[in-house]
Amino acid sequence: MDIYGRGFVAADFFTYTYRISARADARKQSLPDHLNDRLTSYLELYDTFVSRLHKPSEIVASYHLASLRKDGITFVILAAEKETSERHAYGYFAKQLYDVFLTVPSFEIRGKLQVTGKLDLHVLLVKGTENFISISSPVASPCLFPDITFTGGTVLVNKSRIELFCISETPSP
Amino acid sequence: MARILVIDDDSHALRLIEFALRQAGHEVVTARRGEEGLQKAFQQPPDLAIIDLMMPQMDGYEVCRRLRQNKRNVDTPIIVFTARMQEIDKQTALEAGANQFLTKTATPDELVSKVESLLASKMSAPYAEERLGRAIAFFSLRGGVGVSSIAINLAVALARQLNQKVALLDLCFLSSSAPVMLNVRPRLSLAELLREDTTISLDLLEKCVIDHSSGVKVLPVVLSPTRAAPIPDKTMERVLSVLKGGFNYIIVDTLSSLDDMTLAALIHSDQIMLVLAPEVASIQAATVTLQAFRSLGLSDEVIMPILNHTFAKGGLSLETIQSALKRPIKTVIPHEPELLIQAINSGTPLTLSQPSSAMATAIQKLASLLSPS
Repeated sequence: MDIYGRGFVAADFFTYTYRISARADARKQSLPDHLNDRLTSYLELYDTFVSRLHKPSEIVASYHLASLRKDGITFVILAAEKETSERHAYGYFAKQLYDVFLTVPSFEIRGKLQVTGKLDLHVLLVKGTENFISISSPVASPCLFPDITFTGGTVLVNKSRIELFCISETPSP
Repeated sequence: MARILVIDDDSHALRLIEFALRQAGHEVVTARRGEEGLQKAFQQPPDLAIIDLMMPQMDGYEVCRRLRQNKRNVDTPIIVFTARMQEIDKQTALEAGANQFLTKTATPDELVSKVESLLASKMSAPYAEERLGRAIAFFSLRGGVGVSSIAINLAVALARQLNQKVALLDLCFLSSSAPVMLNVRPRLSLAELLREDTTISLDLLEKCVIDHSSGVKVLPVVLSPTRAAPIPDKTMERVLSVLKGGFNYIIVDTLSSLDDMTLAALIHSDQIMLVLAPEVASIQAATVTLQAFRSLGLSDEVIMPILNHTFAKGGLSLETIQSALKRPIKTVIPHEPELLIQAINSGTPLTLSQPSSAMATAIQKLASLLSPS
């Protein structure tokens, strides 16, 4: 099956216990928009390579086609920063970057959160309609193996999996 | 023009890489599966290999490892070219034997430039040197002085403590200490494997390797005198030479006799550890051995006497032994009867079960002495 030219995005998907490297079919959308699309609850994956979190470089299974429940994803690491939602590309308000630290099951994540206008955590974490929030320049470490780090351009974190969300008081320079 | 092997399951990536390399004037051989790529590399070693990590059945890490185990490809420069871009992926790829790690975010020009620079530095001399192993034989004409105990514990110390690739070549078919001391069960011996005129390679030797949890690869040479005849000296020379291509150290545990097979192993080893106990019969045997080695043309520099205190009290002093042998003894293994017997009975070498014991410490010191790093 030819999977080129159909909006496929290569990414690392992390669940509670697995790292899944695959190409996701984003249905001609950006991956964040597809993940936040409430009409579909599964993500179609191609060329899927599965590793266990305690040995994240060791490939334990590989399949051409797979289906991943969106709500089973803890976070997704994308190589480039440009893969963020197109809906946030333009705006009248100034954009500011805040340093953030958050914990999700098995992981801690550091990075920068881009906020348009006034920072309101309640809107960001509770009232906002998006299931996944985007954090740039991320560094994610499994809390049991803090020497291992996963980096990329952007991390998309499943809001329902966030346990602790810490943010710097002032925007980072 | 170089001959470059590209292994990638993604046909689009394969075509793109092939095109870029051909444009740069190289001959390109492609494979879409790890096994297929290995087969091509074994048939005709390429000047350089570009390997994807995420491939079905056999991943790129395994391909790198197998290439490095193959004597003809031990020096082949390898670029891992992958969509996996995490530091842990890079670290694992380099550990598996890759020379360079490049993510698929790189442009074809960047890949070609990496290929050219790696070809220019034509093979990673450090890697080749690292894999040129040393054979260290342990010998005593008098039995019961602890040759196998020291050899096995040293092999484990080199593998575990110094993270070296170690093969333990067990020649002791009469007493066969390694299976007991390491609690492993051999099925096939080298003598049985090499009965016919086979080409000896690391892949072939792998068939009779037993993996120990410490990382030591145990190779029984002969399991029983009734099952196979000892291997001839030419074959022993070839076996040691092939093993040197795949391991940093080959520890040879020999018999207490100067038969043809043992002599061949001793002559083709880089260092001989002459083990002796502090008693007259052992010193006499060591003196006779040294004379025999001299008559065989073995240099004094390759022989290193090791004094093993196999009993608690009443032994000859170090000075007396040194003056009898007319040479200094730098390594002395202290007496540790209870812990050693416990280790043998439990099938866990002392350097693993009691690493802080006096005997294990002395052996670890010997391992550090032998390792240039």
